[in-house]
Amino acid sequence: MYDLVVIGEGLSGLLTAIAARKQGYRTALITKGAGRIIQSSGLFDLIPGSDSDLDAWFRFHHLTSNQKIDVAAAIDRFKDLMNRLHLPYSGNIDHPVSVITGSGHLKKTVLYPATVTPIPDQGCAVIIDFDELSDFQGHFAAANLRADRPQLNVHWLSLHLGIHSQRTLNQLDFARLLEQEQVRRTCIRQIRDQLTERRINKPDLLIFPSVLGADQWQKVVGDFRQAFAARLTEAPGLPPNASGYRLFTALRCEAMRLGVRFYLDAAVMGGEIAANRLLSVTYQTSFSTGKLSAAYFALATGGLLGGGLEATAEGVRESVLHLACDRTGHVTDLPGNLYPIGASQGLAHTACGITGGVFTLLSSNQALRAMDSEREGRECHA
Amino acid sequence: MLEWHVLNETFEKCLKCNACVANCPITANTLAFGGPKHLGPERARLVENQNPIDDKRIEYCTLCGTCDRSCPENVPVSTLMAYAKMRHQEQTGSSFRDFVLSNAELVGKMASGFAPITNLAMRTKPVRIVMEKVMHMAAERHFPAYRFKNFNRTFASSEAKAAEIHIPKLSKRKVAYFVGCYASYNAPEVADSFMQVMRFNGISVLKPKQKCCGIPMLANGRMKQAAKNAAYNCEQLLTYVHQGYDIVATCTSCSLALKKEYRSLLQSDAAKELSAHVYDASEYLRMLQENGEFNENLAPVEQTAGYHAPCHMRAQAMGSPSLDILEMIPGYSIQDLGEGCCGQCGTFGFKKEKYAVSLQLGKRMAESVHALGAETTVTECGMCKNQLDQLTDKPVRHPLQILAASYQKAAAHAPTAARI
Ligand SMILES: Cc1cc2nc3c(=O)[nH]c(=O)nc-3n(C[C@H](O)[C@H](O)[C@H](O)COP(=O)(O)OP(=O)(O)OC[C@H]3O[C@@H](n4cnc5c(N)ncnc54)[C@H](O)[C@@H]3O)c2cc1C
Repeated sequence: MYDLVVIGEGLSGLLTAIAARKQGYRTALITKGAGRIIQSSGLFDLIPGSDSDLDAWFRFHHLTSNQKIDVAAAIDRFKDLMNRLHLPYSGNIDHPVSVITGSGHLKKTVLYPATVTPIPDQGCAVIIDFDELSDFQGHFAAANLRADRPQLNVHWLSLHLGIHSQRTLNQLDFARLLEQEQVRRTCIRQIRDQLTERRINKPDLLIFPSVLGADQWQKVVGDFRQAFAARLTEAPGLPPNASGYRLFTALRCEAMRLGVRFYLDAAVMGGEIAANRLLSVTYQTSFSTGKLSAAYFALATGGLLGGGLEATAEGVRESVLHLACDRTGHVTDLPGNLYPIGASQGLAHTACGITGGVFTLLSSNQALRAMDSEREGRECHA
Repeated sequence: MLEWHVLNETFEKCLKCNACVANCPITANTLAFGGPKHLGPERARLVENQNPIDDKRIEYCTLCGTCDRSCPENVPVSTLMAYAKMRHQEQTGSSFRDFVLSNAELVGKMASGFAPITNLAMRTKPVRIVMEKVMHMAAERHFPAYRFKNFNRTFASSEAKAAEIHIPKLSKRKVAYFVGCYASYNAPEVADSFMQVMRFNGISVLKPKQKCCGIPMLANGRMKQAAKNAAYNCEQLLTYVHQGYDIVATCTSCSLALKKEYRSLLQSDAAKELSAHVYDASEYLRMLQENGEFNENLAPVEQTAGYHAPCHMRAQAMGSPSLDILEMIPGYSIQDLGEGCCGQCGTFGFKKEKYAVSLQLGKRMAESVHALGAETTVTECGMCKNQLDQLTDKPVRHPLQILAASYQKAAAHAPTAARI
């Protein structure tokens, strides 16, 4: 019934499903749950947890320099997509920039959404905290930022919104609160008062936790920008970050609108392979079992974190289709019509346990290209 | 008391990753709700081997199941929530309003019996104000109309009408139709369409004895009553399963109950057996199509439509069978709206204290209907339709109504073809 079945709903799965639909593949996406993208920062790094540049990244993933064009194409394609989804991304793969994280430390990234601004070396930055938000500690963030950027004049202030909640508030809750004009006005007033009180004349940059609107980030960013004539950025930290959530919901909504068929809360338990081709996958839900057949399959099940790989006493195991793999989880007996994407390519592609978003973009693009040429080849042959 | 021992282990898998919280439609719209992670697995962990804790915040959970679909660790969050709701209901009792709302079937029987009067009364302001004051129902909320000619009264004539459709070869398949309260009392036209579509596919349909599927009871914490209905339906429907019938429902909440909820409510082999024979109507038709048994003699329907996927449809891990089926109609252009929960959430949106949240939730869906600008909206769920009717100006149809119209048109234009 399908041309392509994508297994997994992380960044890899969603991007692949969207691109495939656009190329006319009848596409299904099957997943046992949301991918790690919903816990992520929404940023696209080269090698997570490292400041290395593009060359180091090429070496890390064993890519050849003639694949540089592929990387550029993947990034352009992603930027086009995100422009269309009104969540534009900036950045240049040759020039990683420093952005702030929830701890206040800086990290290098190459693609970032419009709610994020690189941290300058100098000037005046004000970190905005909220009394009611325990997932972000502004004074620690300020201290860490000062250590990372000694020339930058860093201030910290905390707002009190007087909000009564029946649960512990997280960043996403604040992102939704800030979508209310009334709440924004209160924030702006309190920030103004505290800036005056502390004799901070004109901040160049306001640093918030990742709370600048859930769906309506433009409104939120626009209001603060206008009120203070300053640049704004988010410091993503403990999940859920509004920046990761925005990316996830934008991609998922797009996939649904394009007609990707979702099989949710369904765990793939194995597949049927014949003559080096995966014919179908079997899945289980809490009340049923089923089978999906397709011409092509994308394995976007993530690595150890996503559930696609499992660490056992004997070593790493591919736990979804039970394919043979080496000790890094790299599948060694890959059926010809199965394409592993992103973190499911094995531990050699992860750093600090995670696969950088840029590699995910590249591998998704490459898989689609390979599928396309295989399909064309088959059609010609036929 | 009902307890599901399995639950005692499953919540341990929760890693507190917050995927359920981030996706929960109610959490996104009110701070009065404790959230699925806290009231589900965390609460379960807290009260294990201790005195149960009653938590009022659970009232906001609608059992839409988005948490289950978000959780990467397979924690049965919504089932844990259903138990927390039961606990709360046991400790505090049901308000008269919740008792009434959860009795969709009884209300349907009574309201449709006096339909012209009920409908008129429900539309008048004084009655609404009294309902709000006495019953705590939202005065501004529109209610679905009840039909005097409900499907229990019209089944025989509907069956006779369907039998007039001549079709070349009768299928070996037999269907026992789980009509559900909505198609019975509010939308017998959906049930009629179902009868006709089945007939166009050469399938005979009977209507087994049935009670409300129990979903409104579960959502209001009345788990024991839901289990009673489950046991009744399970027994009735299984007798047909044993005679080779497939069980098909046009309401996706009903089909979810029969497939999934009964298994945890009854924890019996009977419930498991039933579950494997239940289909959503579009899913059933898609299965026929895959097996080459589907009547593809569909006349063009030149129309654009937006599709709203009900939460309980998504919960069935079956893709979007209604889209698959409707896309086969020539000229028919349908697109998924791509939004989440409609906000009506069954009985939730009728309640006075939940009404504002319900509307706020529905706003996104309404905006997406507007942005798409299609002529109609299609959805399987009567309660989603209720919200769509109130918040948008497009007519809302069940997928089978569209399909029935296409078949009828084909038969009218080529009577010989249909009669061969
Ligand atoms: C906390 C955190 C922060 C991050 N921050 C950054 C960052 O700042 N910059 C950056 O570049 N990257 C970041 N990432 C990484 C990035 O978000 C993705 O994790 C990475 O790109 C890999 O994505 P993936 O889609 O390959 O795998 P995953 O996101 O792990 O998705 C795997 C999917 O497969 C599904 N699945 C697994 N097994 C089965 C099965 N048997 N059946 C069906 N479905 C199955 C899972 O449910 C899931 O949907 C972060 C990740 C985390 C966890």
